[in-house]
Amino acid sequence: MAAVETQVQSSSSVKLAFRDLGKTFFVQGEPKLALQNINAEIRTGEFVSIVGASGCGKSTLIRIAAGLEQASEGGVYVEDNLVIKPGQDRGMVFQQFSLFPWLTVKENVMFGLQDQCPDKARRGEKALVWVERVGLGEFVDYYPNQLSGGMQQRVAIARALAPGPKVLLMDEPFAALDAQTRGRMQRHLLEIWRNLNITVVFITHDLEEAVLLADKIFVLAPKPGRLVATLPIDIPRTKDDLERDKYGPEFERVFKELSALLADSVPLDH
Amino acid sequence: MVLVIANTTRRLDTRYVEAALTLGANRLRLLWQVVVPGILPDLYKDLRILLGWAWTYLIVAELIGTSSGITWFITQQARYKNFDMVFAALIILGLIGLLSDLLLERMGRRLFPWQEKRLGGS
Repeated sequence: MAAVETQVQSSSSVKLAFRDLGKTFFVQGEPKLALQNINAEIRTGEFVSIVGASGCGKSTLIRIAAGLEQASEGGVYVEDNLVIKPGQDRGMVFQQFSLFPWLTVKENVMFGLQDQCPDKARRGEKALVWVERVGLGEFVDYYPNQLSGGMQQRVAIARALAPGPKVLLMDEPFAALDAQTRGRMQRHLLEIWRNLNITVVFITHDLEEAVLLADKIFVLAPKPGRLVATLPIDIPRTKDDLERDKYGPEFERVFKELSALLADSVPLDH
Repeated sequence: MVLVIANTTRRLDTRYVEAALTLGANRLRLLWQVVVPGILPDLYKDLRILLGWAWTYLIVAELIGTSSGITWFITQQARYKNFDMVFAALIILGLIGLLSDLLLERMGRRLFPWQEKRLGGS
């Protein structure tokens, strides 16, 4: 099986950085400050989670990182290059319904490979590798409407990763799934993350999920969206060097700490 | 008709466009590989509806204009107060409309097989 190309970097280099990032929306002519002065760094290979109450701007933040929206001030830098528009270097997985319904599983995964791989047959082979990697080898020729939510998200992940991005951005990817499927997907994602050593930015409103998966958690407070805390998660990944024990005392302690941080993050009056 | 197409295009889920952008699609690819296939099923439905309107306009035009055909038959029969024949003709008109639409719907399902929802597993 061909190795997926990833950047060979020292683990202490910064892959993605938010620098003085601000975003103002205009709602009916009135300016609304969505994000204010966000400064944060994410190192290569880190799994970072961004959490915060509804309306804190975490979706906006990741969309700016993806290039789908523009910052009003400052910006997002990937390997010190300013992000101005969407691109293959930042793969994105949305919450749901982003697969192209008129394409099969394999064709969806092939979509992002067109630039790198003009030969259709080769493209198909590469896509097939990815489809099998996410465990959907039997469903290569199925249409997204024929798949369950969990399967669709697996395809979405394969599709985003096939072009070999530097960063994987995920906007609440498992929020629409039932608890059991979510558990499987979390495990699956950790395996992929470990195998590729890819940098992941993972938005979630589920604190338990954040503590379970991330090396580091950024806590955003709403109105206006500000980074109020950065919490490194030191709990060892005991299960196969991937998963943490949800029911251990360390987990509970960190979870409580995170919950407290969120409860304290009150909206500022503006 | 232009309005209908413009509206259908506007209604295309922006997520498809955004996903394509994050996968490195340029404007041309966006148009031909995302927007066009994306709106095709809805466009087809729009055309089926427009066909219904066209059918109506046709009948109205015939009622005013011709001296042959089903609508002429209807006006004639009405004049002779053979209302059972009038209703028979009306039913035939309705059936033609219904059947042609059913046929188009069947064709639509063949043209756009991806619209069917069937669970394959989890």
